[in-house]
Amino acid sequence: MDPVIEQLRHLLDPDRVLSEPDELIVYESDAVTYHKRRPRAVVFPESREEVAAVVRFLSERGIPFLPRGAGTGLSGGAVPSPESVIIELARMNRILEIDYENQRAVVEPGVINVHLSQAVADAGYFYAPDPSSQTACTIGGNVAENSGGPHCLKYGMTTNHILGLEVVLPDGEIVQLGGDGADALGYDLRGLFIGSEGMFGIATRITVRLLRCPPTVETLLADFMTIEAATHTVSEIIAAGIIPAALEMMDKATIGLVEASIFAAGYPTDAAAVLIIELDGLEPAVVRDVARVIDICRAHGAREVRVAQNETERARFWAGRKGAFGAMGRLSPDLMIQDAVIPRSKLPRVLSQIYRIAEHYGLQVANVFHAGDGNLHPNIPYDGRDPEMLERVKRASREIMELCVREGGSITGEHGVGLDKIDYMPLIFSDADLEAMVRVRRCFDPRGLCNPGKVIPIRRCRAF
Amino acid sequence: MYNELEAIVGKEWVRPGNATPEYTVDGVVPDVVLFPGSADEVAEVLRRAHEARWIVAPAGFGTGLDLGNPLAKVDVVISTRRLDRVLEHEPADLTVSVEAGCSLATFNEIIGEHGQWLPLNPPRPEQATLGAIAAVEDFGSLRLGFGLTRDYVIGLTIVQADGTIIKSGGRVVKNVAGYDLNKLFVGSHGTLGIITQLNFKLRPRPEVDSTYALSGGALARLEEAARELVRSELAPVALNLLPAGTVRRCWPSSPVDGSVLLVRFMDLEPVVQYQADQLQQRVARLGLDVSTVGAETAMALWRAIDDFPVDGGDVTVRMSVPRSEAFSMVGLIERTLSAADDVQVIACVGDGTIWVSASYEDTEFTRSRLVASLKALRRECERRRGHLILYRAPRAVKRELDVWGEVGATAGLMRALKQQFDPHGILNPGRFVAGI
Ligand SMILES: Cc1cc2nc3c(=O)[nH]c(=O)nc-3n(C[C@H](O)[C@H](O)[C@H](O)COP(=O)(O)OP(=O)(O)OC[C@H]3O[C@@H](n4cnc5c(N)ncnc54)[C@H](O)[C@@H]3O)c2cc1C
Repeated sequence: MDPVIEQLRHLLDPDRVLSEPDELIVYESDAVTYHKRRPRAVVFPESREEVAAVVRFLSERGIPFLPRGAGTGLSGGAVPSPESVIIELARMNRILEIDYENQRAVVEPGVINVHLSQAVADAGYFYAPDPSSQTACTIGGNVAENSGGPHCLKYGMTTNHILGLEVVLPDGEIVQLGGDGADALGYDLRGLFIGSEGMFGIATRITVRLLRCPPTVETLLADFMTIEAATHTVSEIIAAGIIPAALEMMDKATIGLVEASIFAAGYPTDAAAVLIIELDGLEPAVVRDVARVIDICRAHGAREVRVAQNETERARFWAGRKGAFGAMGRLSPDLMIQDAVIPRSKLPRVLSQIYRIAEHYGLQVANVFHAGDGNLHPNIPYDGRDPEMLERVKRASREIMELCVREGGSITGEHGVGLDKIDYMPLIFSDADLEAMVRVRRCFDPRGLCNPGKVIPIRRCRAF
Repeated sequence: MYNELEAIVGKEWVRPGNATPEYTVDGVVPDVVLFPGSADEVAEVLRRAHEARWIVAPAGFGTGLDLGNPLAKVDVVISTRRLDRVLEHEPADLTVSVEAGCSLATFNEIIGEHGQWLPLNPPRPEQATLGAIAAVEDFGSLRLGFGLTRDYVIGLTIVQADGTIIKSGGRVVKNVAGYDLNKLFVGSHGTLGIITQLNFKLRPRPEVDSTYALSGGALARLEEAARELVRSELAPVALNLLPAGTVRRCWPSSPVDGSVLLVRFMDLEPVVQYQADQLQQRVARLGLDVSTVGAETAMALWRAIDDFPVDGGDVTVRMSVPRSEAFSMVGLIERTLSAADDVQVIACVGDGTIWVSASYEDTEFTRSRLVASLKALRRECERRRGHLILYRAPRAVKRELDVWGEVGATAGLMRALKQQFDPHGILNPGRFVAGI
């Protein structure tokens, strides 16, 4: 018996430490299935004191570890490095405080994203970041990835909604980063921690901003006979200075898959693309923007623009979008979910080149993405048992990334770098840029024990 | 030193510190003031400074150099004012790249031609460079509606202490590649590197800007109104409480007596109108008066508020408390500072920021009494999980009261960052928190 596991059982209850190979299988990967490694053990702390105790124990012995939320990550961020112990935060799932007066709430990291919005809905509030995985992913995971979602177009990413964090640092010390109701002094350690992909420590308590639910919401579904018409519409809406709450696009391949699945939303299957455009705010603002958006859609040749007539119809428009990844999963054994960003005015050009790249490699590509902020998800269905096909998928992915970077974009808009995109980092960052990141990491985790091997490509930087 | 620096930036861009009084750093006259013409020149200068251990104070126009703890000495001031070009404005993307030495006012004028703006309103936007605003994360009354600099910075170019140039972030509005180093440099007060270029995301400029004054009740009544407003569907971009004494200073022509709660809306015309109507109804129920502040008056009034205080008091402090505590703090401030002269208070009751300025007769006695009051107020802020900083103060006051206050357990992390990014401690040493 591994003595480390023995002692971990001593620190927590025995039944909160998993170490049997068959129990560990679930924890070998996140939602990207081609990065896999078995952890040494998985522990389930139930309080910050337990997290700190486990971290201190492991760090004293130089054993690597990593936090894990729901494992819905799409960049391999929660895949253990060799010999790592996973600290699974799912059981720390209490909402500790709701303070409407100051529009804030304090939650434990394992709280499921949507549960928070549900808890405050009756009072007329919501928590804005809404990844499509929000019924499963944790707020701790969202903090680590600086997650986005459809409504981030108007409301911003996770970083815009986190006021403060209590963090167990990789040596077991507990610190408060950022404020807890007011501003904090000094460097913005809160902002630095958000998006650090589990490498700077473990968030054990998170103070978030709550927003008031907008009094009026209108959801439009517009369909187009060419991709160009749809993408030009997107660019034009943004250029007109309209800030929709969400502006999402699905192409023909995606529509076909969605409509053939349980998520069928009534999207026209003969359309080249549909846009879901949501406008929210005060009534007179929404009324005016809806009219302007409809005009822009029509001017670019939209075949039909439907305005959801009630909550049921609105939910249906969204169901297809939110279920799109799931629907794609059914098409083929595996799915390469991609994530890249381009300046939104370049959408028409870039999208057509993405189709050309896929075609060149004999692959299908299904696009479903946050068009309003230029955040693409060109997804490629494939069969992982066919190594030659996987190779083509990887080559096509790289070419798509290079294209987006050439157009002034980024290699990830919301899913993070993790293991999956580590090789793309040098496309956008110089050695000096990466070296600066390594130095920041060194401050939080001088020995590199917390989720090592992610984000920064090793061969480029001497450190780790 | 002179010759070396002239070789890097050119003879005409090196000035002796005693010939450039605007670049005196909180009472310390630097040896030289430099005006480099490119990021590469800044890099070359810092490389030399790093080797030679020259103490460097980064600057823009030099108008904010007294913010922070005083420096013991300054060898070189590096001003970014020649780096003032708007490099790439992509109106269709609402993004822009701009050099650090461009003033906020000029910048907003240029991008304003496309109906866009960077919705920040720190004091004196004509005299504040974007680099400096980002470095100190300065802000004004519009924070409630539009947030902070950090919410708009999507990318930075930084010259590090050792002269290497790095970039953080990028040029797109959504980006999570790598750690978010933008957040490290924004608000770092020039202690980690010199910002030479910034990429921002922008906002469409609102059509209409209207201000309403609520008055005619005790503070408690105004508090009730403020509470109702932040709980309502209305979205004021600024919500400022001016106690009676401050109204007399900032708004001498005010038609009303007593304290005033200012409410500002910016949006499409019908949306502002709708909110104004709603405001009337809600406030009438509370028995308060609402008056529309005419456009010109409002402009002057906001200018006075944002350039706070009127006629520059001796000491200006900025507090941050949870907004539910803002009104009770205002009462406390007035009681605590009752012995000081010309106390002005502006409370941004939507976000919990409170500005206070006071003057004192220059004697040992009155000064230490003021310092004692400020210490008491700092404790009150800290008790409310907030803080108080000395925003502007004479060195005599700074000697008795740390500008920032305690940062607690994170001091170690912050010092480690400083050590990693400026190992020789040449950039603004001692200016920031925890001796950084
Ligand atoms: C169908 C589907 C749709 C998705 N849609 C979106 C979307 O719209 N937008 C989007 O941004 N993402 C999306 N994602 C990606 C994913 O859901 C997010 O990245 C999410 O934030 C991950 O949360 P998690 O709890 O599952 O974290 P995990 O996958 O468990 O972990 C992710 C990372 O966070 C770290 N971590 C976890 N908890 C903590 C903690 N408490 N402290 C510090 N670090 C921690 C881990 O070490 C790891 O590096 C989607 C995923 C799926 C499967």
